[in-house]
Amino acid sequence: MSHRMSLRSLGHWRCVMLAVVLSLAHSSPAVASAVSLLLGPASAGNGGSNPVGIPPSFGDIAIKYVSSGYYETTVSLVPGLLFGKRFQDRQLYVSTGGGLLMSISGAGVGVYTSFGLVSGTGSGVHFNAEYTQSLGINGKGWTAPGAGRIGAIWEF
Amino acid sequence: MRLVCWRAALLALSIVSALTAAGRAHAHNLELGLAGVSGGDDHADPAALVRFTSDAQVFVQGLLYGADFGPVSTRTGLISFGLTAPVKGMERLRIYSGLTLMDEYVSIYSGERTRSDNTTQPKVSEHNYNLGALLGVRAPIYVKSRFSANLGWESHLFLAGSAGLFLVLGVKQSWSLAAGMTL
Repeated sequence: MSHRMSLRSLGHWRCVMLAVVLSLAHSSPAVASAVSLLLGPASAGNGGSNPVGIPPSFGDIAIKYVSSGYYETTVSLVPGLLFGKRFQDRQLYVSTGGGLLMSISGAGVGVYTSFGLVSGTGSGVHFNAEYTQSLGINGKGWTAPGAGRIGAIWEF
Repeated sequence: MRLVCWRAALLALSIVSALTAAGRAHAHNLELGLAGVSGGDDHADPAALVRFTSDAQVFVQGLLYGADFGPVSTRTGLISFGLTAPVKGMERLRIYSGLTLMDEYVSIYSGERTRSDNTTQPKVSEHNYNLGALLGVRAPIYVKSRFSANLGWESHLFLAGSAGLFLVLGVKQSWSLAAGMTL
């Protein structure tokens, strides 16, 4: 419970603002960018994930921005703040990259891989499901937070 | 006697040649390796890995690990099967997806023993089975002739009973180094 409190103390709005800033930084005049909002509990290295909250807590949320060049930015409490490249084949994709990882043992750096499914492509809102696995190091050793989440992706 | 030995050797050689030739046509792959399976931050169990991949890119894989703590023994087996394909846009990386059957075995005392009061303490054990999904990637680090080696990183995902309604997943993440050959 204490780690949840400490994670919350980071400030929800600061993280949301960071997501907006990072998204804008990645913006390009090209056509098919996308933003997705995914909900689901994370595995933070404490033996398993908790149920997704109703309403979802900030730790249950991931916001992703995908540029037209398929570079993606993930803003979430767990696994963390991630930057990577998405390889999409029709409605399935794999992403890989690295960034700042967060788990019960603290913040660290590492790499990640995501496996995702979208219900459709092209402009509009589609269903999106994704599982992210990560591996990195922090001050206490190695860490491997992950999350399985579902939500919506808006392509524009 | 000597003639019989030579004939047997020739027959064995012929069989091996035929199998090898057939194998080249089909390019099945057999790998053995070592893995680490996560049990939370900063804890991983060493595991043995065996994997067979057919020419149709169907794979079957087994991960086995365990530990002994005094009279308590644990053994966990993860048997996976599914399909593998190159990641479009980064063909060096392969994605593995499929299903995993997990058997978590725990036993207390390996057999019957006599307690201090001369009564019999029977072996106590149980198997816990679970079916889940496998998602992972592999990258080759060595390919030469029929021999190859690769690094793997995968997650075995299990729904946590009725808590699955709230998207709760039990996860066993594994990292592996495997070496193999084309049959």
